[in-house]
Amino acid sequence: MSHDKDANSDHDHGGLGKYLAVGAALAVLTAISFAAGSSQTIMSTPQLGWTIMIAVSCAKAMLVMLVFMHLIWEANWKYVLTVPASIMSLFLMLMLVPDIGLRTRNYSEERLLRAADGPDSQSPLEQVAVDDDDAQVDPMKHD
Amino acid sequence: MAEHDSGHDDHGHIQLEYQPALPINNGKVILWLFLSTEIMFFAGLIGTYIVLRFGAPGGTWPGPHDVHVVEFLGAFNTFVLICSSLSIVLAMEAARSNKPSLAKGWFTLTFGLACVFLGIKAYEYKSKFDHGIYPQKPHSLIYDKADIYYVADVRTQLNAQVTKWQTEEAELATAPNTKTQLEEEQQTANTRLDVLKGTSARSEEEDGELLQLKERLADIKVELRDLASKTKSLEAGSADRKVRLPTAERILNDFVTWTELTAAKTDDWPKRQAAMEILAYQIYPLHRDAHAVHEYLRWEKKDRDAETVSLAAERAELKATFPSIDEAIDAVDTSNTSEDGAPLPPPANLSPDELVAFERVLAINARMDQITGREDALEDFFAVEYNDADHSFMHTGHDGHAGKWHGLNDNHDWLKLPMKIPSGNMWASTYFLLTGFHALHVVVGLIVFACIMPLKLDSSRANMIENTGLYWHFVDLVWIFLFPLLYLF
Repeated sequence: MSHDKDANSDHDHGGLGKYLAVGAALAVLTAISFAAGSSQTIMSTPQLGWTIMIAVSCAKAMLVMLVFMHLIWEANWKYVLTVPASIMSLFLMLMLVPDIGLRTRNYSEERLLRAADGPDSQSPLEQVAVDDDDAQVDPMKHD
Repeated sequence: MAEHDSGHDDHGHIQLEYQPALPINNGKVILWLFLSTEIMFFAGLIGTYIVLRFGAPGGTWPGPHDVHVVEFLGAFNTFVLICSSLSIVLAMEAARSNKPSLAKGWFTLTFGLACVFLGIKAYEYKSKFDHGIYPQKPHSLIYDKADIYYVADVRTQLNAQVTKWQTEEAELATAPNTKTQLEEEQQTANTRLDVLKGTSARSEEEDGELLQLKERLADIKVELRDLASKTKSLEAGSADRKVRLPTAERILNDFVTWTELTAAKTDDWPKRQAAMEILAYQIYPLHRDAHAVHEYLRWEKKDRDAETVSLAAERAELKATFPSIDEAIDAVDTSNTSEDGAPLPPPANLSPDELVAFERVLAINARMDQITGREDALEDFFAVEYNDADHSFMHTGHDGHAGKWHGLNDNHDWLKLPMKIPSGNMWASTYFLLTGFHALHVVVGLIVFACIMPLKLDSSRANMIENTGLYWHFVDLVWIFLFPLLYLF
């Protein structure tokens, strides 16, 4: 990459068409993640929905960084400034996993109940067998 | 490194060209350095959020609809930011091709889109604040679970509200009296003042009295004015209070007191928990609780029916054994309905055994009233129908309009009762932290835009716009991750 080329490089890239295409792609990708997130079918397996949405977000982020932020046309210094920062932030997240992320994994039932509960997770229902003979009683009705 | 491949006469040496700096302008270097610290900052925040969200116990993390998050607004805001990213890049292109007015147009559009983003954000924040979703006490109404502390706080809040309204109503009732008293005092004082003024030769005491009277009259004037304005504001709220007070009192009796009694009476902890879960659901229903709460209501209904039967049997037996207590009980019943506040002394003509039976029957009657009240309240306030298909309670209001059960808090917007939202406090903290920091970056962007907009955006400013654009794209980049994480996960 020559000095001359660098000085003129601003005129070598970009272009209205490219920007508009990327903008349209970003809008479509947003619609995709919105559709995935709102879809009952996909979100019934949340892991699938999460994967789709994060993949879409990464794609959008790459588009923005490479085209809008011109990284695709920049010299190698771009790696020095972006890669270490990204790796360190990934480390930060990974370091939080054992103590924070997995903190409730080995909780006893009592401790979970004291942490936060809902009928979903720690239902008293599970503790008491419900008499099925009365299953048809409407709780609201009274004589 | 330059031109080494074009020079073939370099005797195999690579000719390195010394560069004193990166091949970009200094502003861009500094901005990229800043952005790399920003990457760490936001990646840290987002990473922490992810870890907390997936580390929340047992899938308790609130869904978007549990905390009044509207996915569409988030999607729209994403679109707004994408458009603004596009427009600022077009502004830079226009400036680079030396078209200042076109550049200014795109730049102004960017500014406008950023304002739209912030406006929607403000609307979203407000709708959360209106529902008592705050990151921190004392405004936050969020409880992680329905326990005795939760029930106690519901009672405290409701009691405070009821007491306040009752006091206000009482003040309104006594206001005319107070006014008459003050006016009478004013009149007496005026008469006395006239007498004193008419006296040509006043003693020293009389002079003192005159001064005191004048002061008192001025005070009375102020008091009367205050009273008038206070009465006016009390009257304005009176119509609302008259509707709300009975509702609030009913909720206090048939929901809160009922729950307290049920929770206190039973040693069976699932039932105790169930009673509190029902209350929490009635106040702020979470869709995922609907099915369980339906079961709890079945338990309660069974218990209520069993209790009614056994109480009725006991009462019939007591009345059969002690026929003479009937008359005394009727007397109590009629005096109760005539709203005689003081309790009646027990009838003197009863033997000790009869007296015990008499008191037991009274207690039974009171309990039966409570049960009927509870059943009526469930009927009036709460769901009358349970929809098995989607595990939700259907609410039939007084106008017969059927809709989803939205909870006491939503059906009565003046009620601000504590809500049970598992992991809700953690949710609120992370939501407001992430969106708050992002919104702060948008605000900073707006300030920068406002500084640049008045300038002539020709090719000499292209680098400035590019650097501003880099910052703005980063703000967009952060939102690209925040949107699915906060709105869709």
